[in-house]
Amino acid sequence: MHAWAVQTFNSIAFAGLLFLLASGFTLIFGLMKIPNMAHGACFMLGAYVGFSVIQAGLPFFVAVAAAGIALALLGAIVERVVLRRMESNEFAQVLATMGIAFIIADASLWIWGGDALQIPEPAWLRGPVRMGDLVVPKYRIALIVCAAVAAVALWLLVDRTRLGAMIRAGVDNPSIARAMGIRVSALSTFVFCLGSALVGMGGVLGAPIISIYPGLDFDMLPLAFIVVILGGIGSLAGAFVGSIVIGFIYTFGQAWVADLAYVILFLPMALVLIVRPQGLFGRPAA
Amino acid sequence: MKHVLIGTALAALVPTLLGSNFYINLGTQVLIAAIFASSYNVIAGWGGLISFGHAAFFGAAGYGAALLVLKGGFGHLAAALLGVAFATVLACIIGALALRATGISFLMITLALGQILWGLSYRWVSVTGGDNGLTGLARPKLFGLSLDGAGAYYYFTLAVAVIAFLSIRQFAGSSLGASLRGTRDQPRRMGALGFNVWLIRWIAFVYAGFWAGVAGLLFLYYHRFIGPHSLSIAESAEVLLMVILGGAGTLSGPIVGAAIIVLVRNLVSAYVEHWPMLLGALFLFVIMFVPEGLVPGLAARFRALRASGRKAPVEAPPRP
Amino acid sequence: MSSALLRLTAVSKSFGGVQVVRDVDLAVAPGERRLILGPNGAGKTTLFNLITGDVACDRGSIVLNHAELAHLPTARRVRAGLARTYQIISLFPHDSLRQNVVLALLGLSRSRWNPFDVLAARQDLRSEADRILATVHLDRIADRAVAQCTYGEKRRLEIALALAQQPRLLLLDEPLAGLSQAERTDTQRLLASIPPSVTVLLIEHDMDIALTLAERVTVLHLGEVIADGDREAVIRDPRVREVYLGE
Repeated sequence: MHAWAVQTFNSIAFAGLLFLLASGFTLIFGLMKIPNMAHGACFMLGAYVGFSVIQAGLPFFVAVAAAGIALALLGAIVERVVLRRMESNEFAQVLATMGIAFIIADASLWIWGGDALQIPEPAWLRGPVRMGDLVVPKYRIALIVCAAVAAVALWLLVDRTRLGAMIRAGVDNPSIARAMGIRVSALSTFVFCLGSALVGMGGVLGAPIISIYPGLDFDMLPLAFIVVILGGIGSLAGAFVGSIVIGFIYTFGQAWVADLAYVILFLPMALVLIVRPQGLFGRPAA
Repeated sequence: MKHVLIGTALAALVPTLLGSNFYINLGTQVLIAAIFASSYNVIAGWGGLISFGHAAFFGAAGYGAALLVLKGGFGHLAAALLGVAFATVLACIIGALALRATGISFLMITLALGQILWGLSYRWVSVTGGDNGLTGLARPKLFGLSLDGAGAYYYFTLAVAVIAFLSIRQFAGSSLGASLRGTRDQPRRMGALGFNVWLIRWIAFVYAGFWAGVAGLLFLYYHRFIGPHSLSIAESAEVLLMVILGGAGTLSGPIVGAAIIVLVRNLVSAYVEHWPMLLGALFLFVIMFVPEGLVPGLAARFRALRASGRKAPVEAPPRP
Repeated sequence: MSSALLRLTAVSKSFGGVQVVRDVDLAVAPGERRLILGPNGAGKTTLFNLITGDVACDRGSIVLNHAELAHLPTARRVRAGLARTYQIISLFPHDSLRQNVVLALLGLSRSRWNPFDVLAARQDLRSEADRILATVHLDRIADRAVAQCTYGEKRRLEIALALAQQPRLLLLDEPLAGLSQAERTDTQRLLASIPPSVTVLLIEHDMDIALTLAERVTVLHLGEVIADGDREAVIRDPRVREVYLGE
């Protein structure tokens, strides 16, 4: 019983991390119609940036903010300088993000080396806390809280603001959105920056749990894919639900069926795509 | 045809010209990559189907043959044939599933299915050796001749490569090849002309999987090893890179792209530590400024230079 | 009555709640030239799409030469004797005019599946393609890439591709759209010279020319047939006049 409870808790914590990874991915995919192949690399880069900020003696949450800002800037540059040039050619954009991913990966190797790095949790979040019968690390609770805050903030943005309405219009039907005067290109820049910032911060927040190492980018990218396909491209609610589902499947899967851990992750994704290419909650392609 | 003959003749001279085993082995690696890239070109270049899981067939043939030899006690010839057959059957299945979609969905299905295979090779340690892969293979003897030497294996690979390129070239120039290109350019129009677009694409997918399997088999016997990396996204991404870099939809583009990447990885890396960044930047440059690929791009610039001043209407360049 | 080459019965289609084609009955006799008229949004192109199978109909039957087409994919309908041109040009832009026609000829030939059939050596296809290009007066630029051709030349190529398929029933979707006066006259002559073995269904807004080509007219309005008969009768039909003048 205890093991179940621990795994459940871990699943929720991992789900929180997945949400930070996947929410940006789903917004970018929904608005710009491309899977951002550099998303995993941005997660990794965010973690590395956070590492350096902490090495410089600054507090943990400054590191988180710094990673967010750095990745937002990178996202802006990538979107405006590279992706904007190929606005009508989605495949070229996908390939370009792949090239960016390779560049980020190697640059990270150059700057931070090949050894796995650790970011310790901030001192005030270290150690366990007792929740009834359960003893859980304080940090994971904080991670869950951060993810929840991000979820609420994103939901407010997308559901309650004019900007969010424009994003939703762009996701649903870009040509009509343009005809209504919505500047989808400018929105793309914003969403790309927002997604990159989110994933960069996610990288730092996740680092105390998973270490930072070369290859983290291509380890995280497929997870973003799975969550978004399951949850529906362009759907935040889907990303939320998908993160929880995958968080559980991944955590329990690793514990119970280690041999088939990846199969049980990717099989549902493949099945969903084969039967319903737009994902479970997404809208069919216009 | 004369290009093929010249190319083969030059390639045959490589061992004598370059002497050291290091360079001969490099040549072998270039040839293996070139076969792999040419197979990918069939679906991505001529079919217009960008898959992110082509390495599945490359690795599957390698794992299949290795497992049959190491754990099944099969002879090399049987293992090789069954390994490639395994890759081809896999291509039949994955093709049937993935071709229910097109475009980005197709890309993601191939990625997911490829990852399932990768996941099996990585985690099913008892069978596949997990991250350590399968080792302990010896190269087979061909008609009694040993393939252990660098030169011997190079010529073997070259022979297979020539057969592969001739076959793919034949396919491209055939009616079926023209039908495939038609489905890339105007799928709806092709339906309206009476073509079964799905079946054409599926056949191309299986054919591409076959040659990827052959490349994987050559890879297995070259390294005497196969590991999960051969099935990974990184491997699928790399073959995509080779084809896009060199020129998708051309015959020599994938070969040039493969050569560039293998040579940069093995030679340039001695001088430039951060050659992956270099490759990434080169790739970006090609996508942004020479999207048709280096071979057609350079050929077009060359033609333009020669034709500068003339204003005749442009004739359609020879296809494929 | 069973002598109709094409018979549509109660064909209907709605998109997301909007009924675009409503209970359309149509009977076209062999060798007939039928004009489909109607204001924009009347459902004319959708009707064509339903006949060719680019869009699946919700209800109704489509019979071509006694064969039910309604659940067949486009390629099978084409092999039953159907061909069409598209309103939006969909040619193979990087290929030459000749290569485009060769592809059209290949579509109905067994050899399209043959991986050993060297296309460049198929002199028979090349000659036949040149012959077809000559009938649309494009033979002199047979080697030119489609992307380098004028709009009028592309339109004529579309017709050439359809004729190459040797159809029983030819669907022409606004073949005169966007053409200059001289090009229209040329195309009119071309369309008039289509042999009587080919039945033609025509969507066209240029009334002057369309009425010289078609003896019978069907008028659609908001997805429904509001008039169907000889051209003189239809032009005088008060409902038709209301729909066109009351715009």
